[in-house]
Amino acid sequence: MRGPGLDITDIVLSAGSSVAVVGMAKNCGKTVTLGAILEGVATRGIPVGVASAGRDGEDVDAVTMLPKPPIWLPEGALFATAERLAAKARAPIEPVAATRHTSALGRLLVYRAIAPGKVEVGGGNSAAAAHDAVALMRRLGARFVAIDGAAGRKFSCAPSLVEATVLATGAALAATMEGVVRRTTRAVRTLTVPEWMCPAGAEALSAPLSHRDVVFIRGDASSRRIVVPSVLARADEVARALTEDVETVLLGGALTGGFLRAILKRGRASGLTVVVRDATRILVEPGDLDRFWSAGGQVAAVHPVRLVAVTTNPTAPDGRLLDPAALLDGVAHAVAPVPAFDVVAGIARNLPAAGEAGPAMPNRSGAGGRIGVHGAPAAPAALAAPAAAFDTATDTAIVAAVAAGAGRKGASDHGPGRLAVPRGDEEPPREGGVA
Amino acid sequence: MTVSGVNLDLTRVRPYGDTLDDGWVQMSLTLPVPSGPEATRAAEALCEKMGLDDVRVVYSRDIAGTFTFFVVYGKCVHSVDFTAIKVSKVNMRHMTFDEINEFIATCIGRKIVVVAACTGSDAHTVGIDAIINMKGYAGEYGLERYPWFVAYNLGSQVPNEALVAKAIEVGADAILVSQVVTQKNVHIDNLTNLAELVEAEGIRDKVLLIMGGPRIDHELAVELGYDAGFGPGTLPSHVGAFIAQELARRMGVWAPAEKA
Repeated sequence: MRGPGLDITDIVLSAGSSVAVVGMAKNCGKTVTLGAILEGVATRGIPVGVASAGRDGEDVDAVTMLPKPPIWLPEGALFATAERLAAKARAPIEPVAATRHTSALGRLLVYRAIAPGKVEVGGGNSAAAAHDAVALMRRLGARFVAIDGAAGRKFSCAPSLVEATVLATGAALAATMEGVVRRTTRAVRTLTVPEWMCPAGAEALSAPLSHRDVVFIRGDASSRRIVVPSVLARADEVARALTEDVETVLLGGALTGGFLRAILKRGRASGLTVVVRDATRILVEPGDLDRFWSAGGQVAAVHPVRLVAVTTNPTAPDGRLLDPAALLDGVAHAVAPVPAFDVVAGIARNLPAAGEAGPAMPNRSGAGGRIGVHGAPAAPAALAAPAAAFDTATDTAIVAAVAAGAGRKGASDHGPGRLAVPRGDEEPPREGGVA
Repeated sequence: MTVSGVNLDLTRVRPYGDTLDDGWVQMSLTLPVPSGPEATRAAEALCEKMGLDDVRVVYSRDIAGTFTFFVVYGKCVHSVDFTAIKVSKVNMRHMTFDEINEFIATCIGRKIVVVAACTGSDAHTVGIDAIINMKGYAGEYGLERYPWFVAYNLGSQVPNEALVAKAIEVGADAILVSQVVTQKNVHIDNLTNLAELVEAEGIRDKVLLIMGGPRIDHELAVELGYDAGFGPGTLPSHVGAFIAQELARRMGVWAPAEKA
């Protein structure tokens, strides 16, 4: 795979030591993309850990009954999978540790590949399970961790879980190339909503943001917090509370179409910014989001998703084949400057020039953790401090951080001007031995 | 293994028609062509391509002048290795209505709250009604009849937002979602969106997320991040026993017997 230029592994490693591969839908090439990254990471001699947000590496697709590509692991690799999937491994493996999570396929354990081979990875069916599996593999020595997405689910790319995200798209998504490009463009726009900068002096948060919280921030930086059982059920009520002086509304839970429609109905979209924790909380049909944007509203995230690459798969499960180069060109043009790869055809677009410090990200202004790549085969320096994205900060710690530094420039490990909002729902991971 | 005095090779199992291992099957199909000898020949040719030998169209009938319905007999040339078949099942002990209620009373000590719905565009409530409604299905009562369950059946075409809002409002222990319409795999998108919403609202660790429907199984459940997936033939007591046992296990008050 390694040509004269940068490959997808270079791009991923330049963003940090963890990646989530998420798909636009099933059969868009997540597993093949993951395989290309894992192969590159293994070639560089970096100890790797793999988890799945759903299930992958199985022989046959559970819906289409078509054969699927396996996940190939190098010797010594760690992977988190359900007990009954581990039994299907075609490589010698040993259980190393157990998480507290269980799925319909048994307990979620961490295994080590004693020799290279093919395995099935799955059974981490929640963000908490994925988080615990990743943290456990880190402690067991993985210096690079990859999470394979589940079907079209995107929760695994939450910044609380991983530093970098790769989005797989392909012909499975729509009947025509234009359809694939259009839907991919929309998803990328949603996934990469800009980072929200807390206005200077705003007392936006004097306590941690829970899933039930809604915070209204006015033009003069003063704020009001209300607690609702769920914005899903109280969309109209919350929209009614958006007085003229409110410029920003911060949601602790999900942003859905119902809330955006309630805002539009009251004519309050113009000049309003809706802020979510991260883009995985945005669960809106494209039409609602388009109408909100057209009406002058904005959506932003406290913790931006760092999309480092998009991959394209020109084949659909029903046998349709799009032109690989044309599809890559179309997608690359739409998602520029994000690099785009067809890892099977070995072609790439939008690559940063050699010597640039990694891919330019539209939604990220000079974040840390980027390092030069130059196609260097050695483990990048970023791997020396892999824990940055895996803070297990408790709410208490967050309160202190927010009280001390909300709106303060250059404060705390969350970077300049960024708010200390809990990234996810993490709690200190628990683990046990293998019974 | 011996069946009716004949040795059966479980690594090469074929359909049973009149005698063991004869491979005979009966199937029906519809072709979008007018009824006639050409249509019959086309049906035979197609069945041969499907791996049937000795194909006989035993019945055919015109449908609306442009389609033809067929019933076909044929000998299947293929076999399956039954010993290599592995199906995912949830690790649970089957219990009766009374056993489930007693289990909940003893181990959990409070009523279990369940919300259920057919989501998205799906208006086919036959599955969810069989599991939830008082009158039940196949001689078993639905969860509404269980004194230790509080069941909310939201009905059909329920948006995922409304289902999750209700689950939060009533503090549900389990969300049951039924998907009967699966054309163009629309159920995958619906189920995916629901799981994302449950995660985004911060209640994923507080609820059991359960799917059900004719094309649902535990494999799909695991793939989409659900706790269980119940397919055709599921009875209310299967779902009730799973919810009770899994909830008790997560509360740390009960552990399933080790499986071999």
